[in-house]
Amino acid sequence: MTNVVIRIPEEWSDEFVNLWRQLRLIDGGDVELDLGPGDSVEPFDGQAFAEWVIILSDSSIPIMTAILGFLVAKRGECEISSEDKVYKFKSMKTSKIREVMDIIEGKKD
Amino acid sequence: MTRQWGLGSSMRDQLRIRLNRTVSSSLNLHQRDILRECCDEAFELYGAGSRDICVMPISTTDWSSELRRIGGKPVVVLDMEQINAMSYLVYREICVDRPIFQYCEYMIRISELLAELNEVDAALSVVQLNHNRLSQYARDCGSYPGLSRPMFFGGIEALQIFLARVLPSFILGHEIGHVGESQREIFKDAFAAIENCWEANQIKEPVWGEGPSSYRFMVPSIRQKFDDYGMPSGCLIAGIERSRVMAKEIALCLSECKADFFGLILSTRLAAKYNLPPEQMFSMLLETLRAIDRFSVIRRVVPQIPRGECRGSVDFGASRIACRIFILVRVIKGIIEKTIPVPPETLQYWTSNPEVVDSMLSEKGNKYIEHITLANDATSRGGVYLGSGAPFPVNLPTERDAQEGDDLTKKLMMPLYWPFHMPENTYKIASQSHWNGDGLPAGVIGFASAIRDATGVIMQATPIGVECGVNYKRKHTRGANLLHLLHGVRRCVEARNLLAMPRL
Repeated sequence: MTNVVIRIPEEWSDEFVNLWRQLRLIDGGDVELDLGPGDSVEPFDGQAFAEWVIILSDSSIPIMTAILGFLVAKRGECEISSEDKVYKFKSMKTSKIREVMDIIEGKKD
Repeated sequence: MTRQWGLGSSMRDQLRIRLNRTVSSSLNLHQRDILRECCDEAFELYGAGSRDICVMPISTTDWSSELRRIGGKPVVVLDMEQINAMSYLVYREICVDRPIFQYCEYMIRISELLAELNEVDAALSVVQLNHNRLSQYARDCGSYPGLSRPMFFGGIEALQIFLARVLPSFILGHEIGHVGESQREIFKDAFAAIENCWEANQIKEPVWGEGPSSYRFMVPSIRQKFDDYGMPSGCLIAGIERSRVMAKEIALCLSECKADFFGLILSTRLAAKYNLPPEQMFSMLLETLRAIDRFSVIRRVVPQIPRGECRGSVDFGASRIACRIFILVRVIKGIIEKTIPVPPETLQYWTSNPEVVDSMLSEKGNKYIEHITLANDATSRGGVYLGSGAPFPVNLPTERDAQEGDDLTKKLMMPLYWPFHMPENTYKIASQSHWNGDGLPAGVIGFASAIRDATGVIMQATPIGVECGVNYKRKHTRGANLLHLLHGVRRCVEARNLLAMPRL
């Protein structure tokens, strides 16, 4: 099973949840795919994040790839972890989107 | 009797998924005992509610403690490596160690961060450059392979108490404070005082005469752009975009200040228990926050630096630490003046030597504190700019030029050029071998130079040779443990000898 941990700066978390929901609606996905408010992570240096753990599936992958641009724009983070390896993308960049998509495609069960 | 850390197996599984970190070292019994003491003091101080909080001690190359709420349940992840990281820097700052030794520590942390991002080659290049700089320093001092470290050892006992006992309690208290913040009735009046302090100080007086006022805490974020060849190509200042979430940002920032108040109360308890004088506690606490600010900048900036000579940008963000220091200093003043209610032992501690503490809290002292924190922002921007290989800018606009501009120019022009109003050798650790305490503090120089050198390595703008036959990349390909390699320079610094590198 492959998990993707997504972290968004806390102040942008509401916009992220709304965007995910809109994408889910456009994609015709089930309501169960919607994100909750997310777990809060407050590092000691004061940069608070909202965090979600997303399990990769046929339904979540299209939404996951569609939100990568938001991660870049709002300086979000993403970590893709499976049994064998963890890929970390802190402070996502446009040039990393293809790499993330390739990893996600490769991990598709 | 051993107290449990409060984590069940289900919570451990949840954390395992979320915390993809590399273990730095295993926690020893002594460290666990210290943390237990801190936890016990915290639970005694904050009452029954705090017992619902789980504490998970770890030691990772992420060197970051945090409060997590998983399914609403609060978990304090206490990273002992963060405490170590701050200890190294506070120790070196208080002992007036030379800039190269702070530089080494920053470079080690940057290399750890790169290794975390699976950029092993860049991590080894950073550590190679670190080693080369240290060798050059030893030669400049004529002590090779020995490392000359003239230091000031006054108050070293107090420093050890602070680093071992008080600092962990400040971090733990801060994280617990994020949970306790919701239990407002405990420190309701103190929180109101913090909010009032924010209100009263959020507008900063004009920098020049009749110039414009500006916000003190919510400063715009500056983004440095790089062109297709990895050379600086202008700056962007983000203000309007962030205005949409300004209210949320202010709430988050205030929450940090309130959590710091909890940290202060708990750490004061430990400081009183171990007879740490309040004036030393005060200065060490400020040093700690400054160290946190620099680590925070490293964590924000390093992942964004363009890899290789290519187009990209680095957003320097806005530090919340400057605001935290500003408020914390005024909270201590409020405690001494009895305008902020605190437990009796806290009041007794801070009023035990009011003259000394009062002089440290003077207006002059406050301005110094603010400027040093702003210097972190300036030096990180300057370091990234110069690290790309761009020359040091000349013919900068002067304050007179800025005064002649309109209000917006006055506000924006000078902060943009702050990094280059510092002497050029602030960014050149090789020129600081004979630093004797004059001029800028060692921490500022060490930090600025480390950011510059690390940027040069990451953007592949700095050629790196091999000094004294120590080749880190070769050692790694021959199977040496990566973490041992990244930490090798620290062993040399501690042993004051470049040959102290362990056989790997």
